[in-house]
Amino acid sequence: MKLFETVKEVTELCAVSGREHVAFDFLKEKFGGLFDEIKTTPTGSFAGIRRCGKKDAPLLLYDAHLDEIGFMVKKICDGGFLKVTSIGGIDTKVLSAAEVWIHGKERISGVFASTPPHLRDGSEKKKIELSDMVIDTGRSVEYLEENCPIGTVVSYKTTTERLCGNGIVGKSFDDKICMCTILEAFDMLKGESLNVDLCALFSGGEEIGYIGSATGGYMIDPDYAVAIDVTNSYVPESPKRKEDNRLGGGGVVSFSGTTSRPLTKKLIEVLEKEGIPHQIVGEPGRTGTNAHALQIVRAGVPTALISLPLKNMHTAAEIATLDDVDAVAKALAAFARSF
Amino acid sequence: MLKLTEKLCGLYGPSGLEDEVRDAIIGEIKPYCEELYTDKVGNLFAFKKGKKHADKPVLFAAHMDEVGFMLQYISDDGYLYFDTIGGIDSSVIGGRRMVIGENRLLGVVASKAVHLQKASERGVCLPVDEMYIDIGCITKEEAKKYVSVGDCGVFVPNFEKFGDGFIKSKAIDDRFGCAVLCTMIKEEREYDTVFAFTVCEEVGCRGAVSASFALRPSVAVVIEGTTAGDLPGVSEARRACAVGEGAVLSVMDGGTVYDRELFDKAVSLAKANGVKYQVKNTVTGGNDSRSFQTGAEGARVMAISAPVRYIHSASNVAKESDLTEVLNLARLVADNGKEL
Repeated sequence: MKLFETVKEVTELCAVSGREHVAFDFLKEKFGGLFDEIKTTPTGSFAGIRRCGKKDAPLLLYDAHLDEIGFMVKKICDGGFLKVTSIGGIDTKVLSAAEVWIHGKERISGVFASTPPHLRDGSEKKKIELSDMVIDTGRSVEYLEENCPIGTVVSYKTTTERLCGNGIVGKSFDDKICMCTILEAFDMLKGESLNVDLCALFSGGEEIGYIGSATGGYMIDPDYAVAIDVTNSYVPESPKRKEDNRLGGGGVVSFSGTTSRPLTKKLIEVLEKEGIPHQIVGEPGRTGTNAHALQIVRAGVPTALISLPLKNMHTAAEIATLDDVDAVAKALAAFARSF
Repeated sequence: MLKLTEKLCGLYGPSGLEDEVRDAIIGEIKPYCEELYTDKVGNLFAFKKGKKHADKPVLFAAHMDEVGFMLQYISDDGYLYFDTIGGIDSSVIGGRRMVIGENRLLGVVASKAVHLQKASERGVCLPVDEMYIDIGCITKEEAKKYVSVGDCGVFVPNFEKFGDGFIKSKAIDDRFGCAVLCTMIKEEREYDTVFAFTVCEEVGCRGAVSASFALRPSVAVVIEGTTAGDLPGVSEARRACAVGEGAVLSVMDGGTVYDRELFDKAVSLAKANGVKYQVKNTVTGGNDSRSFQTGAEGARVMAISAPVRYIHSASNVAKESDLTEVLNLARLVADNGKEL
């Protein structure tokens, strides 16, 4: 696969939590060839399974979530403006002048309004609440009531582009870029003989409570699972203990109280043996990822977590590097071969 | 005119680096004017012969520059610290993309990430001092291969038609004004007319100062974008002007008390010819008028503006019908009165 092209196509999909199904056809059409079986859940998860053909082979599940944060229309205001509430965690300080798609009957574009300087009360430090913001649509109230009534989903509108070196910028790298690492790994493994059945679970509803990994995990019933998510990279304001988790260092393998230590150690052994770049992080409690839910699916699934370093999480300008995407894909391929 | 507005909005032209815009304008108007030259500070002047001679031709002006950013420091981690060129409210900078320097490199403005903020810091816009641009480099050495201190950036081009007859783009202020002037130059004019495409309006209306001395106009008409505050929750008394309500005429703003006779003349021309107009109802903002009014022996000034929402941000919003009304009124002013 051409890595950047894949990343661009997948991350430009607008699959806000609750409307992940809009991506199903694309995934089937584009990547169906990588799987022997495809399943979907009623709650918005997509699973592709690659069988190894061996009797009683264990099933290893790779999970990355398909959903992304976004907004929902909660009020239509005079003049063609929309008030919205958030789906998932939003950083309101980067919204003014940001562009959005409003996914009504007809998809239309909008812009988050900003208050003109002459109308500010002079307090630079004023907190921007989402409830004080509006989206300008340039449409009539009648049109909006018909096309995008209360409850309509809104997503960031932007493109995925390259930065210097192998840097990339775009929306919903959390977590679609990790879907790309799984797809890339499946592509690397094409035609190889494995001793494990492999499932790619693109789960829905992570941003609103790990819904898709709990239900999708139940459906697939794996023997082992690895969650692949993004993690906040070191930035100038980070605390000392985060200094070693940086963009370009490879996937960040997590030791956590809520994941399986033996499986995590096995993963690290494979990476060290294969010389695949990686980093380690200690996360004593919640990891804030689907690993949290997968570990206690059914009677329990030994689960590991590998994360891709990311900057500006949950904004329309998330930044990552293709080097890490490649390193995590290689890690997943190598781990599958180790069974 | 919309096509030309789109073309000009997409160009790179922070104050002091208007070359790309000027070249495009020259390409547009060269065959249509009698004289065309660039002055010592970069202003572009065009002289258009009318059907009738005017001893003191009226001057129409629009500025070529746009607000932007200048790099001031490259950190060890490869981040670019910057300050703004012109007035950009810090609340519209965070998270935006920009193109930087001669190579038009893509960068993103970041600041303290939300997960590192205390509850009291969440949603509070940080000052520009605490923001930085990320171009994907992780060391100073790497970043220095691509950029230098002093390089300038502008918001990423994003022109788009949207809604019912609206446009959205960076730099509608004042590329649309440049498009109005170009359109007027391409048409036949009743009288000899002078046109000035000025530099450095956003950093103190400086190009217009030199233009005043060079051209010595007795009447200067500035075509501009002006802030529209017609948002939910804003009282009509404070909104300055509203999108969709037509060309904006100013009596007074933050920099100028406009010539009353010219204002009255514009109003009567608009009324007589069915041009939709509105009067700016706040004393805020400012434009090149202030420099034309005070430059050399001084000129009588008028501003015809388009109402623009979210001016000086990555996404200005204007309405096509307003732009047309501005053009219509500017034509009427140009063609009705030898010397006004």
